[in-house]
Amino acid sequence: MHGFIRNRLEDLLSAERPIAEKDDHADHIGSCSECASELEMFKAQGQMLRMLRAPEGLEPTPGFYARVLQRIEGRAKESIWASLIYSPVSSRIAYVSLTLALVAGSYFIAAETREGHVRNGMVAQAHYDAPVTGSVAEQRDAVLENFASH
Amino acid sequence: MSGLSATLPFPATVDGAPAAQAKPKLDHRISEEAALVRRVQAQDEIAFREIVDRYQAKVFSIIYGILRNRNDAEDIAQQVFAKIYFSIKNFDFRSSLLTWIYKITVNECYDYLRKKRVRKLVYESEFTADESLRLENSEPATDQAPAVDQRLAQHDLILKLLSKVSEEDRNLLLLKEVEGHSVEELAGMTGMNENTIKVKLFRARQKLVKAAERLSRAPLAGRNI
Repeated sequence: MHGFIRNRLEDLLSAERPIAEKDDHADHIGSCSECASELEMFKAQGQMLRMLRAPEGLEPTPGFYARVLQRIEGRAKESIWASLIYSPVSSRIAYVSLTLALVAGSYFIAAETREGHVRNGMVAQAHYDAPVTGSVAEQRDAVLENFASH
Repeated sequence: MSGLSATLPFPATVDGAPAAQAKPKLDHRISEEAALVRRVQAQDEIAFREIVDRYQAKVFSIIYGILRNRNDAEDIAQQVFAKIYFSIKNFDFRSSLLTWIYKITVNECYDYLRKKRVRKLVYESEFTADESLRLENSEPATDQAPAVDQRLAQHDLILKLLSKVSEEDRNLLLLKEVEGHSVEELAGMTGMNENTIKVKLFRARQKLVKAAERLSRAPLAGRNI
């Protein structure tokens, strides 16, 4: 497009007056096919863009401001959590906590396993009942011993 | 189309007269609107309510124009004002408040469109229902379907093309063609001079034409946003 037309492009594209009435630019457009076709293309483009115009008098439904405030409150809460979750300090704290939890967990599992063996031995021992046989006196001693061991 | 014309800057003069007249540059820091923004920046809730009251219809219309669905427009309008509330502290008064709000609004629409497939969205929208009903009541059914389909396809296409250009180009084109602002008004709103606006508009228009050419060459399968 020639600079002569390009400088007045926005005026020429405005729908107020047809191009033919626009002084000496019309002569150039009449003789220059390149400018004419590009101008037509831009006019068609403008028409398509104007399809995005909304009808007059559109309003959101009543109570719009209250809903905006609700959304702001929601986002404020979200942002507090987000700042806690996504801050670099909190991620470091999370890594350290996770490592500590893993170390402590493996220590407790190991300790539990060791203690478990000892306790199982004690329980096995504790559940051993002396045979109640022999004389009445021996049987009485055995029963008393079994009671005492429980 | 001349490739050279796209890269050369506009001349400083038009028909012997200065292209960008030395008009006093609009200072967005000393307007009544700037005072209102400062009040919001100072956490004045009444001032924020005033901004919502002042711009809610505008924001809703912009979104409806793009998405053609009332529920989505309402939802995104709420999101836009929440965003304004949280980011108004960063508003630097380089442009008008409306320009800034417009930018946020259009960006929110395009974020939404990116999340949803635009074709699905347009065909599910109220645009289809409203337009169909209106046309059904006025003209014979045989001629209506192609007209509605054609308009939907064009609406779909222009949204797609606008998604292919930069945010600045898209906003300038929308402010000029959809909102109907003159070059002079755009210069006042954006803080740029008129000549710069003309250059930017021309290049944005060219980019849109190129995007349309690329889209027409692209295979049908890849035509979703």
